[in-house]
Amino acid sequence: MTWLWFFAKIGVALGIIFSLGPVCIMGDRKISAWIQGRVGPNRVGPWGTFQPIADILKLMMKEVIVPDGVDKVLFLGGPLIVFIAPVFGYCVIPFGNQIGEEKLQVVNLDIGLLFIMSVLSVGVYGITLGGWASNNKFSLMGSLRASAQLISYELTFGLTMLLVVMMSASADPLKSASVDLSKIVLHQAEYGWNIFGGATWWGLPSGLIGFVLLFTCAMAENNRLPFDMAECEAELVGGYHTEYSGMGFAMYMFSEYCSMILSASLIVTLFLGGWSFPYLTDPADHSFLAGVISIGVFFTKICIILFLYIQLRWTLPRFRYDQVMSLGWKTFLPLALVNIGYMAVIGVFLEKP
Amino acid sequence: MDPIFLIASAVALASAVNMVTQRNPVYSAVFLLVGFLAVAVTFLSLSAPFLAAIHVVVYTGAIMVLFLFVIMLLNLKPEELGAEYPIETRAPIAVLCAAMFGMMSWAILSDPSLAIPAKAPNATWGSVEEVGLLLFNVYALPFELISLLIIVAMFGALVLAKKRLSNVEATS
Amino acid sequence: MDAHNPHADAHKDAHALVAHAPPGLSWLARASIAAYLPSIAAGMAKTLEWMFRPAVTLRYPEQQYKPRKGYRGEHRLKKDEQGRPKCVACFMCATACPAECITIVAEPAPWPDRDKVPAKFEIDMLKCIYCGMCEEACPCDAIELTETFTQIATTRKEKIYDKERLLKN
Repeated sequence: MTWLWFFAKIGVALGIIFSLGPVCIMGDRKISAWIQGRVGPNRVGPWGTFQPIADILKLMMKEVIVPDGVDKVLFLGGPLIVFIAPVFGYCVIPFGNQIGEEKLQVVNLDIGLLFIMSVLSVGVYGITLGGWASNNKFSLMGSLRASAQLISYELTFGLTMLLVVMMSASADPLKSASVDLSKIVLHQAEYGWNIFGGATWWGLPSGLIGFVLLFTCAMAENNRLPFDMAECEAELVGGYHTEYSGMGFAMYMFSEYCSMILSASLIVTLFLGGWSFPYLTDPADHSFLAGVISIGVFFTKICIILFLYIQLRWTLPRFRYDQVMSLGWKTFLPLALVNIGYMAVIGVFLEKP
Repeated sequence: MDPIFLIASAVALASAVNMVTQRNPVYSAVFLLVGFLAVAVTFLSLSAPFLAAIHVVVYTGAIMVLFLFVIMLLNLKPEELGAEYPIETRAPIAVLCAAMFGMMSWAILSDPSLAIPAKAPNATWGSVEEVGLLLFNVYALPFELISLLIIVAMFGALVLAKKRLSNVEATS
Repeated sequence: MDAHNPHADAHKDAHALVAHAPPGLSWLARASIAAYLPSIAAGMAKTLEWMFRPAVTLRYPEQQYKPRKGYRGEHRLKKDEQGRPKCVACFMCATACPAECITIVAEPAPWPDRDKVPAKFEIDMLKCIYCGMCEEACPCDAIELTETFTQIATTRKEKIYDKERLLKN
């Protein structure tokens, strides 16, 4: 029975990524079309809904071209490494409330938050090594930019996660501060979402700033459009995936959407209360129906964040490279430091002896 | 012994040897990366999950990315890598390193207080809370001293970079 | 779309705040990313509004663009009531043509009401700039520009229309 539960949970977690991935690709194309006053893909299937399937079929049938002078092992290995982050990261995301004795989370790690951070940082090697192995100046530039961007924004990313841990510590009579993601969600279900400052209204500015910071950093780490310096087609042809064709390119493209889904889930889990919603879910209710409702709530929240991602992509122009760096180091890092400093002071003052 | 520990340490050793013997710096970096991940797995099997996660975040997430960044920025061609040291130079270094490694292993293995216990003293041993409490209570002074050391290193880097800048200004 | 939208101005304000901060306070201005947030929100509102507007594009093979009246497409040589080409090979159109794409070779007319008829009347559609000067220059209203604009050819030669092709248009 436990094994059955285990595989069912893996199925749901992978299902969220690999079914939302094509939906995201389709959504990206459709929403961009609507924003630009076009219709978008509408030929394949009803309203063009089978377009992603047709795209993947096309890319699968294309030849994988390995150019002369590339480093074959890393060239073909790069597209595989990028999938580590979204797939491993989803192991620890709690996508629903408990059903009976089973937490709806593939593995309940004590170090959940740290695990996600470490996995996210490994994901960039796919881009970096793939771009280097391509033996192309533009690919190399793209992968250099990707690694520089990751280092710059990971600091703020980590500090904002720390903010969430501190929020779940403040004003909590049980002092159950933890990097365990399911406990973070339970705390939010009990005391209020972290975007509104967690347990205390004093935390409201901190929560709002933290949410904006995490959202922007996640966008920068996924190389999404206002920050897509790594593939910047105006300057770098196609960036790190210039030399890739067929499935190699398809994996890079698909993994971008998968890591987008992972960071959307992370944002929802850390700041928007995970699977909880006032009056709709009850943390103490462990029935099957409540579990399904909580999965539905989580799924809806992810979809809203993903929509924001896509809309932002088609709203904002791309940053210049030096703007990306100065935003990361000179604005976000000090802001995140001040933010956790404020939260620490709040936490100390609210602590009742 | 734990089979996971054995496999992970074998991978760590193999990738360490490969890292030293590879001619291509990018491959060296990749093997170092694999080594770091394997060491993280050994930490996990020694019930030190916090150490494992921090190891991956800091070493593979930040330091190795920087290493790769610099290696790729230089992007040396094979002919620019320079000649290998002759065997007369390498052999004494290898002997010296092996001797040092042997001495350290002997010292560690012969000290009964450093022996690895069969299992963790309690269930939360090595968790975030335990490590945090130790770090900020018992080992607070060494911890702060290390951060001081890192700040000194940062100032050193700043001073070096600044000096070169003023030289450029003076000559131009 | 509209040249003056509040979003563009708000963006400029945010830039100006950072660029023209008093010396020593630039870090404060830079730290206030909040200055950018209203303009980003304005932009998001704009794109959201556009999302719900109807598409301005045509679904091409099913819906086709209907040119307005007086559109200058490919040429046609007109015929009179008896089915003869109206053209009298006067060379006015070839003279008026700024692109020099009309080639006419005249021959004596078989009919008594005119001196000449064109033996050869060719228009190089790839040289033509569709200005309509030939239509204006013609004294007998023999040439006109139609609303056809989607004729394709696979060779350059096919785009040099001869008399028969122009009469058929």
